[in-house]
Amino acid sequence: MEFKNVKLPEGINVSAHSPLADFFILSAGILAGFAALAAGLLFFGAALARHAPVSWENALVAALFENQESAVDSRTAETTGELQTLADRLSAHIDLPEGLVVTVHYWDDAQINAFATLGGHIFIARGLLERMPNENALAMVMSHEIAHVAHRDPAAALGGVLLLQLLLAVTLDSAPTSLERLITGPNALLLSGFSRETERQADKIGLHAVAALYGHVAEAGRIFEVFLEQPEPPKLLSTHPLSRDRIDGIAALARTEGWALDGPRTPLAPALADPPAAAR
Amino acid sequence: MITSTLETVPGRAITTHLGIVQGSTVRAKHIGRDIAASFKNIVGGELKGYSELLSEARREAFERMVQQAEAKGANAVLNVRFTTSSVAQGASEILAYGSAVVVE
Amino acid sequence: MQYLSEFANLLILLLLLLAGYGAGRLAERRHYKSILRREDELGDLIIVVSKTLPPTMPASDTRLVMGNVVVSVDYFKRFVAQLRMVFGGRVHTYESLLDRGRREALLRMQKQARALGAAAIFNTRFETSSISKGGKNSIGSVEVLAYGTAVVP
Repeated sequence: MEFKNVKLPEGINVSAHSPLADFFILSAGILAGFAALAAGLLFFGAALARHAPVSWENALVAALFENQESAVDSRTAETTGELQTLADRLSAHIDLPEGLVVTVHYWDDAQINAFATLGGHIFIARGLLERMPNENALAMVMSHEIAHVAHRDPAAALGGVLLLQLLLAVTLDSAPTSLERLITGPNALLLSGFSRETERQADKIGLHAVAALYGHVAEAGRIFEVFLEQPEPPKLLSTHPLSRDRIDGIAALARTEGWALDGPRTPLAPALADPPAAAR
Repeated sequence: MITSTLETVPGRAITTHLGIVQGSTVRAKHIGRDIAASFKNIVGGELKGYSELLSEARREAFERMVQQAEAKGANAVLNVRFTTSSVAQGASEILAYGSAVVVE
Repeated sequence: MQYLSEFANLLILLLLLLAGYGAGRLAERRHYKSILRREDELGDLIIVVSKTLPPTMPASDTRLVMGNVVVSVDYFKRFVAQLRMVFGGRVHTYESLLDRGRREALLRMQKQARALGAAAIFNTRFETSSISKGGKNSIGSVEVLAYGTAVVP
């Protein structure tokens, strides 16, 4: 009976596998898979929501926001009325889905902002109104928002994001933390890219309506020039295209469609030129 | 290669002890199995997916142990033992070890 | 603007991965070198899994000896292992961790036996357990224990 010590070769229990190669292959695989799946769900959810009946959208809004009509003073009522008139004139040149009515609200806020939400409701802020030199500039903002409503973008965004979040909740619940960290960046990229595309579409349709109403597209880029006064986030991280790109887009579309870039400016109605601000 | 959980090979004497040999693998299940298993947890019963996974892992660990024994020049591995341990949620290590010997 | 924080997170992740990869490889290589050196020294102290001592073997004393170690992987390997766990299959990055752990534990057991003047260790057993499972689905650290009976001639 003897004892013999024989040295073992390496590599039986440890395979000569490069972790770096593994890292790149696995990351690439996961990112590609996620991108494909997430993009698919986002577009599918958005498409589904766009084709959902308008009555559902209206019912949702009615359910979520009980009519909060507080007593409005006459000046606000006048401003809202003027905004609605402009919206109606522009809506005549935009294809709105059956049953969706555009309702414009005056939003007494210092922000230079405007947005469209479910049920055809559009909000225009005081800060934005104060920076509009004439009706033409305001019309571009208005028609951009109406274009969102016409394309059912608020509903689509809700549907798409909802479906995507559902996917993430299901997979990430049991998945390791590294997977989460790997995915958040691309997820953000996907959502912002999707948002930028819808903004570009709304710009196009809005510009068509403005050209149809006035016969020219002067001052259509005014709001973007106002935005340019502030620093903007980098393009990939932003929900909107760069303002410079939007101004260029207007010029390019006008060239293609043969619209005049200049023309007589229509002055703002008094109620819009001097919007009421709540007493501090 | 003789492999056995006995201490000896009946009828044959051990001429040389070559020391301990081990084989191990670390295996993980994938997300699909996870989701399927959570459904099965409601109903109960054998989780076939996991059973297959672990038996395949065990087979591989065993083969690696035998590979080590061959590298040492043994013709039998005696007193084979298996251990399973969970090294991370979702990954298990299977270890097979035994004594590599030369029997006449 | 809110997306900026998510990209900052990604940057931190990449830095940690880089640090883990570099430092981890260094530490592992150093450990393996030490393991190989000690295996050369202590290799003649045979480890046997069987219980029965050969009848002709002189045995004046028998003592329980053990060696244990807790090892952990670096951030990079942990990350890759977690990605692997999405697809399933063999987790290569943990193989070296456990190999190192086991060999280290055996060496420490042999060292103890050598200090007693033993000729061999019989009835060796292993225990592996995960010490801290770390966060969700991540490996924290693993303890390997090797124990047996040292036979002093």
